[in-house]
Amino acid sequence: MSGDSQVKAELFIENPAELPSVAQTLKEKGYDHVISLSAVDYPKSNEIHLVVHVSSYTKKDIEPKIFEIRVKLNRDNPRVPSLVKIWPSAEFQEREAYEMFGIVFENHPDLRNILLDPEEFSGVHPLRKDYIVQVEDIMLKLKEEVKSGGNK
Amino acid sequence: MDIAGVAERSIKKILKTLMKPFSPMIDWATKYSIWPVHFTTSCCGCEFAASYGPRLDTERLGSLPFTHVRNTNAIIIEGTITKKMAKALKVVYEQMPAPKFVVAMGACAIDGGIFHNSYNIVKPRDILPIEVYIPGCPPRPEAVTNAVRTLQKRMQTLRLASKQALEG
Amino acid sequence: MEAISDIGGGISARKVDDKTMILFFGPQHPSSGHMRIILKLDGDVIIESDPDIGYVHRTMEKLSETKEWIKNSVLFERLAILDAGNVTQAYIIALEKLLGIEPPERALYLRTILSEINRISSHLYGMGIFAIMLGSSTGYMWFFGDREIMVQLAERITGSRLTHTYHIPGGVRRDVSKSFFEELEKGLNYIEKRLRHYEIMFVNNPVVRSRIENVGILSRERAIDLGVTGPNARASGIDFDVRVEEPYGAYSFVDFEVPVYKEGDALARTFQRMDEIRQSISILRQLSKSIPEGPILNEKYLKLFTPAMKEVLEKDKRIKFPAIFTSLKPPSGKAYGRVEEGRGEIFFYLESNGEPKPYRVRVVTPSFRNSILLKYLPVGYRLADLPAIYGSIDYFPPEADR
Repeated sequence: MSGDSQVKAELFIENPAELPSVAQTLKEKGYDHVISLSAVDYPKSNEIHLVVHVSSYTKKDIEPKIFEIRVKLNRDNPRVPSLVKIWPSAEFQEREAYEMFGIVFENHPDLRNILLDPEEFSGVHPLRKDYIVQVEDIMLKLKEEVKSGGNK
Repeated sequence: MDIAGVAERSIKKILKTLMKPFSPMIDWATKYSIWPVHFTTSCCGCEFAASYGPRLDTERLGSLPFTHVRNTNAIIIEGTITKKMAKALKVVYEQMPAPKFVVAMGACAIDGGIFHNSYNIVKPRDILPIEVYIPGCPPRPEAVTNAVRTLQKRMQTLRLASKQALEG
Repeated sequence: MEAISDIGGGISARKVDDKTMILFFGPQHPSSGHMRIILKLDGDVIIESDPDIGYVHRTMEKLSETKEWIKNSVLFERLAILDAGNVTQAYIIALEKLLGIEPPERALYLRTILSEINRISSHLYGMGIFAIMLGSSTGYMWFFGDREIMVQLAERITGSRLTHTYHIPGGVRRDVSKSFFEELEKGLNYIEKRLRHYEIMFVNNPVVRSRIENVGILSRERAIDLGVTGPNARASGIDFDVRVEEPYGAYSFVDFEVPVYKEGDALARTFQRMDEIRQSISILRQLSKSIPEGPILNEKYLKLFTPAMKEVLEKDKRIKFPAIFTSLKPPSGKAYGRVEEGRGEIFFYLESNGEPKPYRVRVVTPSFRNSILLKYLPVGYRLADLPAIYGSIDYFPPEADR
């Protein structure tokens, strides 16, 4: 229902503590930089998936070209070991995931807001699904929709 | 007692009264020296830069983008203003000497445009008095040139510059 | 704590002790692209740099969840409007993977032509801004004046100067006439001639050259570690280009080289861009010679056209949007699209749950990946070198902050 059953990753990690050892193995295989480090929120199953895409500059014939790691995190208290020591390119992207989803990266050298103003957005995580922005109101809305803020 | 302050204020008052008959001249002079501060806020900056480039050369109207806030008298808000940027915008505006003018460029600076429901934007008209709006997303560089001319016309007919300089 | 004093030009400073000083560079500062860099200085040598970005964070990833799939291509275009063709292409490639549809060959060629025109104009823009930062007004005037030619060519294809919205799932929105290719050839000849002048006047000008040579050196190992992308990575000796690694569009039909420099300083990054413009010119010439005739939209969608829409396509060679696109529902799943933009690799990750709106869109732009350089590259150089370093990495804040 929540969409996570259909979405398959190259590697799905249930226990966040395993992430550094997996990352180390991948780095030794040749995946040397992080393209994207972000998360997807699944409020129905109370999960946040950390999604990491890594790729390689040095090994041309590596397959697959972009390797995807998914880590299952608890939505109430998402904590995961930081990847900065293994992939320094993850530094700014981890800071972004921290402010957008509230994921705490343990042992990150400098974990604070990067894009958002810390005064305006303390404790608010805009990319989580329960943070609702208004939708365009071109069509007439039903009464209930108006009451709930216009977004289902 | 702040004697120096009182003296300064009274001298300013006398100067302002003396300058009253010359107010058309103030308007005329300011009209040909609109110097927008170098404050590229968002993507409309591309078209702003193009309009001051050689193809359109808005500089020929006496308008020159300049870096130092204290030497400028206009802000062209180029696109979206975020909450973080709004604070800087306010500081930059307050640093400018009067008379000063604000031009809002692009749909985002008017009413949010495509980002109207974003959680991180501020509508410039809520924080600054805006003189001229430039519609478009992004506006063509010709529209920027036209906005400078519109501002000049308004200055001449509505006496914007002398009002700010002598009464504000 | 000592008071902050304004020292002009939007730069304010605070003294920490007798030797060190914290300098707030921005958000309003003499160079273009407004963000703040907090510098710690020992004399005038930078010992610590902390970029404070996010001044143009317009929350695109969140907004994309409130808009229909096709409307999002218009939204994401605003990431980097001077390079809009490439940005939209990455999004549309990912969307096409979800929908399982492929554009016809002529559409691929047209997409690639627009991509390369955008790349040239993006590089000229970057160098123009770089010239402002170095205080060379002539450079700015030359690059921006010549950029107008490429912008005009793009306007000729798409009907719009910067925000093209040219790509649609399964094809492109407009066809071009034969006379376009004559104009393209004229424009390319002009730019090719001018490239020699740029070298004499701008890059090899002793004043400019002494400011950018051996400044901001980025070694190959460090570039890999920091995940730097695009011309900045190639100027440091990384032979990586998405156009070669994962060919999209018509890049598999043309021959081109990927220029690589070893030095990794600001001068190499400037030469890198000039060489890439040369390669783009050669790609455009090959494409305009070998472009095939044919439809510009996938057969599957052409079948849905009403007679009135077909007439518009026959007469004006442009596509009137079929109603099916507004309620596009890609099947559940995920897809990624990556494209080599002017500044580097742009990466889209889409997740669909079968609804008319995306469940999650993740976009990583080259400027965001390169912004880490602002933290590590200026350390050890003098404050006067900062504009040269900052300008040479071609950082575009609206793209980085999204």
